[in-house]
Amino acid sequence: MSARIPRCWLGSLGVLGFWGAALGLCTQACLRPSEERARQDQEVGSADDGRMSVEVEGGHAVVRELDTGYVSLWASAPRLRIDVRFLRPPPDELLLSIYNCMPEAQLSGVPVLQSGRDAAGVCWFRLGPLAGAAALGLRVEPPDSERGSPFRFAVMSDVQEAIDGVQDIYDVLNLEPDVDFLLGAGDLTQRGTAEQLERFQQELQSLKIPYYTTLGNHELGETPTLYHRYFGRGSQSFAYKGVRFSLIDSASATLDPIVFGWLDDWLTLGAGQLHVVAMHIPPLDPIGVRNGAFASRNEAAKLLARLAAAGVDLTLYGHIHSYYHFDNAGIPAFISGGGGAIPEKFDNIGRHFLIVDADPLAQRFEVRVVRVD
Amino acid sequence: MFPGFILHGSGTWLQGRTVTTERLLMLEGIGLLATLMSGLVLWETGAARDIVGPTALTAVAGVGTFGSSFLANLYATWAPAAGWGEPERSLPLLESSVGYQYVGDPQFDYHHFVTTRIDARLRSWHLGLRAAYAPDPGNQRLELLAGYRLLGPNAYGARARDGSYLEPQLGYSEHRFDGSGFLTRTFEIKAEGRLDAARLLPDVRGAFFQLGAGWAKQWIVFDLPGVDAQDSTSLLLAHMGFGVYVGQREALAASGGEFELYYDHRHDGFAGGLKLNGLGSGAAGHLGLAGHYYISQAWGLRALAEVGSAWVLGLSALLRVGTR
Repeated sequence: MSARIPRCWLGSLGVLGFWGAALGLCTQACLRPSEERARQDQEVGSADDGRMSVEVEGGHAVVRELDTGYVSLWASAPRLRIDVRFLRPPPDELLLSIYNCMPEAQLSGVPVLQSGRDAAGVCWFRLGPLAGAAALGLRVEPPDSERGSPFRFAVMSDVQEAIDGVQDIYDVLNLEPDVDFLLGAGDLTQRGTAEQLERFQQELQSLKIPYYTTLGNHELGETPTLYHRYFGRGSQSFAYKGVRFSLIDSASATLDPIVFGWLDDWLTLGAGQLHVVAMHIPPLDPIGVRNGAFASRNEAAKLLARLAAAGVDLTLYGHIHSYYHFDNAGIPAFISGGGGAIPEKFDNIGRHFLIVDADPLAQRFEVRVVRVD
Repeated sequence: MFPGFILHGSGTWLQGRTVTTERLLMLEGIGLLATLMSGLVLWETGAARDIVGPTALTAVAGVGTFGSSFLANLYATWAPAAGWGEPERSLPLLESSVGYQYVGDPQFDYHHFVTTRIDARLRSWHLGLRAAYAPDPGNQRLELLAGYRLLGPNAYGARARDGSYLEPQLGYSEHRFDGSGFLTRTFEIKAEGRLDAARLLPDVRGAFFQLGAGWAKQWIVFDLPGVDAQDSTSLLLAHMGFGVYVGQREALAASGGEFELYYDHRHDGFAGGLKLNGLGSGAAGHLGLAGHYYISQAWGLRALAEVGSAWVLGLSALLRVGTR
């Protein structure tokens, strides 16, 4: 008997150790895997070098570079409100350069000495004279983009390892007339490394329109996530021509409670407007047994109930490498994962993107699929 | 322990138990093969809609078999030759419980539940009722099941050879989320089974492999002003576990019970699916440790710990009648 006791204890400890290790991997961080990214979101659009501070409203741009007389941004929304504060005497002039800007964007708020847009889609504005100015309130947006009017945008997601062929998609997209911007639903890269994120931005230079996106699970291959440095917030909301767009970080198959809080505010802002909500992982997979969806069905239902109660008009998703059109909570839903990453076989879709015609005056969307292959 | 991670059966091999070693290695191989093959199919087809169900089930079975084989390998090496207990070879006519359940879900305000459970059995028939109720904010879950024991211990039938059983089941559940504007209804069909370890590993006593597979149809009914919508979807049901009997159950007056460590592929219920840091969040179900222990012929305790999208911890008092 005495020889058995240690073996019993060892066995018990073995099982409990396995259980403990499994649970140890799933501590509170496991219940809120996107909390850190939600906190990163809050930092996007703010920079301070001791001489000058920049604050982009809503985190709608990444501050790439801040130097004496020079500010460089990566825009992640079509309309920007930028507050510049001089903590020391201002320079005579300020050069503002905005990557990924709207082609027709104009700057207002201060005198513009010179402006232009290069072939890579970078807008630049030389502002001045600034002598005596303590702060600048800048607006950079296309004319009449605040007023409701019909427009067109495209949707594409899930490029990942198929980046070498992404120019095929851009070639077709560039032929589509009157598209104002491309909306992304995540999985730009295979693992979210700096090289892959930079490559994606380089490839975008041939696209004639800007690209606004959220991140996907494939941007989470690096810890901490690098996505925010290159593309900005994972969760953000902006208004354009009378339509509200809310892009949500669902890359971990969940929404962090912080993001749920923001979403409530954005749903209130979108009340009475057409409202598009886009995210990477859909709350529900139309093929339920696959569950390319939220980890919790209860959370999925909670989110959809919120969207439906607020009268959201259109939901757009990625993650599943095919095309699906269905309703969730009565809201039209489209999954478009046609960027080229391992395609779902036997679906007869292949690479594709969506063209969405938004008519805020008639309060309706029309969505069609454009095949690339 | 370390060699056992890589080669299941390393411990029993050192103890000279050849048959058990071969069977553990075979289980590990089957698990790995099923995982790799299903992974390859999922990769190559992009989880195509028409084949993803059976392929995902094979993947879960593969990972589950690997995990169960690993746990069996530890148990076979360390447990005493007779194990720590024996299975019950007949079941009570009525088994009921009342308890408390804590749910730590960052997405919902509810935490504290009163739970109750009744299982009635007559020969091979089985009817079950489980309920969980949180008063504030209102959340209630009700589960009904009907099963029929094709094999194994039952109530008022012949005493079974061991604890192994096979029971097809039909189930229905309704989960109300009063504060969130929706409820879910789920109808499921599944088969639940158990294989006592000794049937597969001749010199391993007092342990079991728990298995389950099925399919469920789920309806999400939105109960909101101005919203008249209902979503329908499906769920793959799969359960793989390894458990241990404790106590000498043949003598019914004696204390005893069982504990099981498991993976359950469900994404509904309180635990939901696992959320993971990194690329792979959402696909997996939850992990759990559950067990019960009777301190007398009539009275016992049941405990539950699960982690998925939420923590679930439960403790119940058990009362059973109609034991033979």
